[in-house]
Amino acid sequence: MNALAEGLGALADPYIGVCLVIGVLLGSLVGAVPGVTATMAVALAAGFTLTLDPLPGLAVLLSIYVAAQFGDRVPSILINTPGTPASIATTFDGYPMAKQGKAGIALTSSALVSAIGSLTGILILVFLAQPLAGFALQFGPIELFCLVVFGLTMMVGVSGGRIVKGLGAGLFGLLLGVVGRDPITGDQRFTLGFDELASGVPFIAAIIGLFGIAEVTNQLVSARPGRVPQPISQLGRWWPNRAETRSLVKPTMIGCAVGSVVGVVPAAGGDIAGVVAWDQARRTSQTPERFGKGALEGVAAPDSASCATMGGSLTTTLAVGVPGDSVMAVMLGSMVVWGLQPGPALFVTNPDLVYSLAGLMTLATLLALALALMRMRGVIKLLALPPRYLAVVVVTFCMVGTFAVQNSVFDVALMWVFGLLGLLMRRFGFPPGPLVLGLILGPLAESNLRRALLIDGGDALFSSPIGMTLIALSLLAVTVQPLRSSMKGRRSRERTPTPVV
Amino acid sequence: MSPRISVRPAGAGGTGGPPVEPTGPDAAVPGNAVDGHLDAEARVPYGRARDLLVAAVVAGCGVLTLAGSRGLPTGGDDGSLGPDWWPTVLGLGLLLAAGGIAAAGLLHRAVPDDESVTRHGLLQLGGLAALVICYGSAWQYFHFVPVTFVFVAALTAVLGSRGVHALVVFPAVIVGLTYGIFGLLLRVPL
Repeated sequence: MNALAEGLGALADPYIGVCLVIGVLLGSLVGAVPGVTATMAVALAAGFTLTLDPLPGLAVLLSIYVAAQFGDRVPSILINTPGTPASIATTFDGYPMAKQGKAGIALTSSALVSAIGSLTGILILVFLAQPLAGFALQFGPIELFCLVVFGLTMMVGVSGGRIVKGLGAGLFGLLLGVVGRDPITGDQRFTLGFDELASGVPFIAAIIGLFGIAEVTNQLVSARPGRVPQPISQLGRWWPNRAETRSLVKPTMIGCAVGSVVGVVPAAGGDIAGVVAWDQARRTSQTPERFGKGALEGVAAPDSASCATMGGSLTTTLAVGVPGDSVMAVMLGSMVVWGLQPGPALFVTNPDLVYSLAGLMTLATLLALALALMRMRGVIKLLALPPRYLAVVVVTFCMVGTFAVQNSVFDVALMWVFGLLGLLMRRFGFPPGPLVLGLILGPLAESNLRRALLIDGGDALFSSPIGMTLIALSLLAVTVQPLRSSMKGRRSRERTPTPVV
Repeated sequence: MSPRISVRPAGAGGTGGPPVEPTGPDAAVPGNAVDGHLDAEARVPYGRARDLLVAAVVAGCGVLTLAGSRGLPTGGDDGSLGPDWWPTVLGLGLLLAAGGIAAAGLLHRAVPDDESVTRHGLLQLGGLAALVICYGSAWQYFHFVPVTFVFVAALTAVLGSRGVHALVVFPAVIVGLTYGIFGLLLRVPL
């Protein structure tokens, strides 16, 4: 109890409040700009915060981390371009909602469920950090491989009605994940002589091209002279009604659960959690056919999940000393410089710090939520911009944002290559979702399987209860849903009376 | 450029949303009613040759992958998997997928999700591509601010806007925003 009081009492300093506000403003801004990730913003800020005391410094870094998760939903919903990889799954239903004139309700619901997800993650940090960290430590290469296999089963879900083409796109994504150095031997593979590809296909350039540039060019190629495009003028309601609020409960719970679990697993972040949660919410929905067409539940699940990962990532970082995601890797470095050594001993030597961090994240979440709700009407005006101006804004920000990631013109060129690839995929009926999933999960699948086989040989899978459970869940995932759909279709056909000719 | 609100079904607009017929809520999408082209075009399925061409391209990717993986080191004598095995598996997978796509194309004729490509649209895309190449080249030699101003103004003009407001004020605002965020705030060496 003393540690709790001391930890929260340390936050009473107004200076901490100023740091939080600065961090939230910065995080919201960088999250909303495609190409600028929370990792990049935290890394840049770390250069300045090292001159501060640990708590104010951590206040800035954590609030950037939290607020970026709220800001990145905005471009995903309004222009189909994820602000950061964590909001990839938000585009699945958020953008269709905006096109249906429901951008207001999508943004409001997204902010609310993001806050719930973030607070859930914080509760996990406070109450379950040590046991969960112990669970995360049981994840060796084979368990991670099985987790990735489970993730790959989602290709069927995100393929929609075009499973064969979706699987083809997924395989192509897995193939793109091969590009770069071999994870075990370091041999160069499929780099085509470009040094820039030695560390793999730049992920940010790929997703900005596949979503943002492909969307703009797709609309461009079917333009007709003399026809003046109409901007979206129906923004719809801002607050969900009672029925919509009820519909948010289940996907948000699924998102929180998925995000909490994925968050504690090292190297798995909000991007994976968002896609997993979207697919799980679709599978368990009474109306899965609405997903991908503008379902509010399809926004709630991924947004709550990616925010819930934050608490899980911080849990792993503090309790194990292993960064839960890339932002935490940067933060871990700062903590070490400040003389704070994350690990199991931290909960014994500095328990007040754990409560201080949980308090900081809670305050940052509430501030980010307030800012997100206040700025809605200003942000939504982006939609009222004449579409030809909006296209120029998207193209310019995508290019500069992609350049900013590694200060590389090559990345910008690659973004255009992916943009044209995305355009061709849409025109030929290939969903881009499975490609992104393959690109995220491919390197994890290959490296972990090969490591597991090197360490434990061919029996690796059968000796892991967690791995076997995950493989069983994967098999269920690919068989149950199609069977359910098939039975549902048969029942509805049986109910439909045969027309009399 | 005329980036109207796409009349494509919303599901296909998102990342992985299922491409579907433009019915239900999409009927109310602003732009659908205004344009009204897709409904007429959507009833005309593509020819089977289109999907066979796609299958051939996917098969080509598979063959290239298999050929490329032959040049990679193989696994060791201890039975460990080498750098070549994963690309080989994926190459074979792509060949299987190509077969599936061809079969699906023969059994079901695909229906267009989007409005058809127009000559005007292709010209605008060509203009955009030329501008991007010029912009990328000029950026190497000149400062970000003037080059981006010219790029934004030229792109706005290519997309059909005219007047001082569109070609001077709008580019100035965009350049100011991008330079402020990236150059000053994030200290990106633009």
